[in-house]
Amino acid sequence: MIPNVEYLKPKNLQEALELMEREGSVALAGGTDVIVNMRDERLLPKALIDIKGLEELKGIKEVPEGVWIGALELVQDAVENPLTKQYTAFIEGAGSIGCLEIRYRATIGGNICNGSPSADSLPGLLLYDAKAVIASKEGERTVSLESFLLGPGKVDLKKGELLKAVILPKAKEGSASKYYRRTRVKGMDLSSVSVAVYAENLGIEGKSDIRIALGAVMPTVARARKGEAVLYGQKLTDELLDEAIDALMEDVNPRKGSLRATPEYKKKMVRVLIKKAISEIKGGVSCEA
Amino acid sequence: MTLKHVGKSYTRNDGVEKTTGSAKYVADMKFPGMLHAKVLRSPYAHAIIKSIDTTEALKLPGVFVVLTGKDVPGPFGVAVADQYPLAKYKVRYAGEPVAAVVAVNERVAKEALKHIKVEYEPLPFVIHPKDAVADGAPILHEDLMNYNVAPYVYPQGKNIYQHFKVRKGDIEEGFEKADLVVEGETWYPYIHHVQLEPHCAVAQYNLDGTMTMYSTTQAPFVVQNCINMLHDIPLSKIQVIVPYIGGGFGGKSDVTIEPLVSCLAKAVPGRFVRLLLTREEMFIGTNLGRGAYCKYKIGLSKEGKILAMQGESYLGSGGNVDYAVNIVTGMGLAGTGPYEVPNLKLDVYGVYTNTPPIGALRGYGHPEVHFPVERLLEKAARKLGMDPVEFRLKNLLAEGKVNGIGQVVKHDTGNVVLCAEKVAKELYKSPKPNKGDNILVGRGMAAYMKTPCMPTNVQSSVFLKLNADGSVTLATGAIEMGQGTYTVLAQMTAEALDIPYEKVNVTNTVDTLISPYEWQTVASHTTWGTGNAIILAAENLKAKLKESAAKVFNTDAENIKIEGDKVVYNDKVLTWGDLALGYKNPDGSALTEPIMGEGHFVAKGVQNPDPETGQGNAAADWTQGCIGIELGIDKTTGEVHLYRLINYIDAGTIVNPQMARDQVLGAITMVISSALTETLVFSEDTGKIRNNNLVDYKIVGIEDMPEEILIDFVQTPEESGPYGAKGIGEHGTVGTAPAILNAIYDATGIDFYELPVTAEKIMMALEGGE
Repeated sequence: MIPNVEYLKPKNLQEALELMEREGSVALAGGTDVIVNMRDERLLPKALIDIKGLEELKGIKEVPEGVWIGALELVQDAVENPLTKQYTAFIEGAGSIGCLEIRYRATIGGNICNGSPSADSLPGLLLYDAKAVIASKEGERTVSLESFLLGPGKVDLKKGELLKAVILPKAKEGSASKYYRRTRVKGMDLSSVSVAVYAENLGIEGKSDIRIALGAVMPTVARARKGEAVLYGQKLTDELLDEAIDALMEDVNPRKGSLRATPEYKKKMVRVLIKKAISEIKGGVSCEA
Repeated sequence: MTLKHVGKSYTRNDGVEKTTGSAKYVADMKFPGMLHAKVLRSPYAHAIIKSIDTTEALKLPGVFVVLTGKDVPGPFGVAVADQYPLAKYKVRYAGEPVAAVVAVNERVAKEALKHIKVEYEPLPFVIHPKDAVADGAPILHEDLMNYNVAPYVYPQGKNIYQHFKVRKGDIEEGFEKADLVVEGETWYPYIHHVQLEPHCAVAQYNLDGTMTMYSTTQAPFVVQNCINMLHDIPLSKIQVIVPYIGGGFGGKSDVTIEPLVSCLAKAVPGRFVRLLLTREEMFIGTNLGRGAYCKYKIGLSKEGKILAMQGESYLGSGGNVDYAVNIVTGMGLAGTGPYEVPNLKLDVYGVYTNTPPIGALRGYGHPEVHFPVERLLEKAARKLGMDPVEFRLKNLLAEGKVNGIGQVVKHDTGNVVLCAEKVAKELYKSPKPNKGDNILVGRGMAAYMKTPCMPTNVQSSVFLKLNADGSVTLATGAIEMGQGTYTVLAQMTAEALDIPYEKVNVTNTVDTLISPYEWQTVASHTTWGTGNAIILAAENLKAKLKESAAKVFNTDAENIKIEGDKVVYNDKVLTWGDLALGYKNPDGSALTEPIMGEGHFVAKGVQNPDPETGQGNAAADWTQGCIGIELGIDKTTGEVHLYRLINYIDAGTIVNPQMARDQVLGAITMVISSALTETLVFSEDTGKIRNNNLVDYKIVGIEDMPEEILIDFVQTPEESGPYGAKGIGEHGTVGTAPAILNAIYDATGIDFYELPVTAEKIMMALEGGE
């Protein structure tokens, strides 16, 4: 049972943006987070603005900057779309959200705007420096997706704004990425810790670009830039990788009291999963999982 | 005897209804003018209720009544009268009902809860049974020694409400002779059943003084009794109706929400009142399971014979314990596992704790005590340098041996030795697989036995109504809750009457006004008890057919033969249908009466165990088996991968192999889950359950299941069972946890004694070199 709420369904984006100007409006897309939060009375909107019908926020298409993914794109559709195929870490991450039924209901924009520190679609998007396109009555603004994430449950949306799309910049030829997460059960579960790794010219001196994004170990999903800096342009050795992980650990500070994993385990798994992802990208044999 | 229907994997007779969504459950029931209830629950695990003010809640439009402890009868309880439908004076667990609102709809009722003001004085609380028996522990029931208790309950004072003893041989001498003594403590945490269907009850107190209640209970006749005790309504005027229920696993046995709902209905005479729990309330406001702390010591000879066993077990039982009393008994009866122990001393204590009440949960005391026994025996085998299989075979309860309560194992008790041999042969048939450098592969096994913990005179009755077309309707008080019991009962009916399976229909609603009596659908005893009643009813029906035919043919009943659906006398033939509603003479006058078979079964010869020694014929039967597990541990993450599961079980004759296999696997799956992931987490500050939802109370999914599963049967017919059958529903739970932990030990050398063994715990232990 959800609390009483005014329900409004705008016909187009303009109408929606006007409704979003109202105090206490909350956008409803797939509802897999919003409805759950309302049921638990963690979210008590004055009005639910049902944006599911907005064509302006749908579709996946090629744009000059890369691939444009509408915020209302269903997670499973985004995972299966040929245009996202090369963004391995993104499709592996998004493909691990909930279960198939949830992924046919939940939207990419919803997974982002829910602002969960463990959102599975985000690490893969951040690796590719994805952008967030935000619409309001005044027009559109585009920000880096990483800066769009402000804290647990908080994103950079002001009153009257909606996330319209994310743009994945073109993936470079020969680049590869990988997503790994740890969960308490193999069946449906939230990530206890997640790691996405991107590599381009892996370990080639002067050219190597290794990027790492982490989930569920910081207030938001974020890039591990201190570790990336250690690796950038360097020949990859086991020692260097450990050094890089030591460096990124400075920013890894999982909260205590989580029911999913202790900070100690999460930190261990960050190291293990980064190494596993790199080994996988290198084509090395990794352990069974 | 060749069997036509027993032993065949018939398709479930409730399958179409359930897969098409047309099957009705209590939450589907809607009645004109139905009101809705919501419950205000204690936020404290232990507190004195200083005051409750319901004034503001009552002012809310749409609110009919608000009840608190002062408005309800009690205390009640079959074994220990220690509970009230709503808390009086104090609360003993976070989630205990403190007040309840009846309103025009759920929304108003929920809103009204916010307007009830309760002042509490929090008290120190205790969650773990070990802490509850420690000196200085907070006392939950100060007046325990003055409570009304059943004759087999022996309250000890402080928080101990029951002490069950098993004594056999000379324990001191046994340990003196031992060459090796192994000791250990185990903890099986508090867990929940996680039934798919939430608890729901809809009740009406009629203006003529009768009560009708629809409920998701496994125990309609127990609920009927409870309403009788609480409200002094004659049993004949209490109608408890149960349609299909969506999973019970013991968590809907005895009573849960029904006493409260009966009080709410009584407060608004003439109106139906419905209480439907949320998922979160199921965790904090119904029965939990397990919560067993065991301390065991086993003495062995160097040849690997068990010489002595001493066990001290404590069952954390919650703020009120009524139905945990018999789990304590189960922990005693099965406290040796399926092994012969000549010198035995077991003490099982039932202990109050500030948790929701602990009740039945598939296994009923047996997984709790098999855990220490099987872990320690594994350890002993290794210490003696013996092969764990050979070691087990030496000590298992083979025919002629004597179990812990003095019963001599007979042929029909079952062949646990053969089960173990078959599992071992399959489990160790080839060398351990190589799963790569990061994976440690291990194998483990555990043997098990379980008895239904039932009243000594447990009863099952059925009616077999013969219809005019020759079809038969089986009326039973047993509940179909997903376990497939109606299919199995129909198969046995077809067998007993020698008619096609399709001709048998089973009533799919139990109604205490009209259904024949059935103790309750628990203890894996329906196939056994109700099956026995069916055989008696079939004989009764056939006798009546013969008597009727004899009148028609003007001869004696003994001259009549029944051949298929025909009744034959020399060359004269009648169909069953001709006689079903009574035979008419050519002139239209009635000659014979309508035919219904009646069968009434009661267990005979089952005794209460001796209060000082636990000895006696206290177990009606035993189902036994053995489980083997092969798994891999990822040493980089601690993750467990289950590769192979092998289980052989001797549950006597198997009525429906496909469903029996599914029952065993379902039971095993529940314990794969509690071995590896499940546990309720209690807040250290408030004692509240922190993970009362399926986001953070994790149960395994299909992805977690073993890659290969072999479940098979050893079928030694049980003399007391219909066609040699006995229980099978719960037994898969009994040995699974120690088998998995023995395999983890084999893989890693790490001995775990507490559940769940999560990836994180394994990882930390691997690194810590524990």
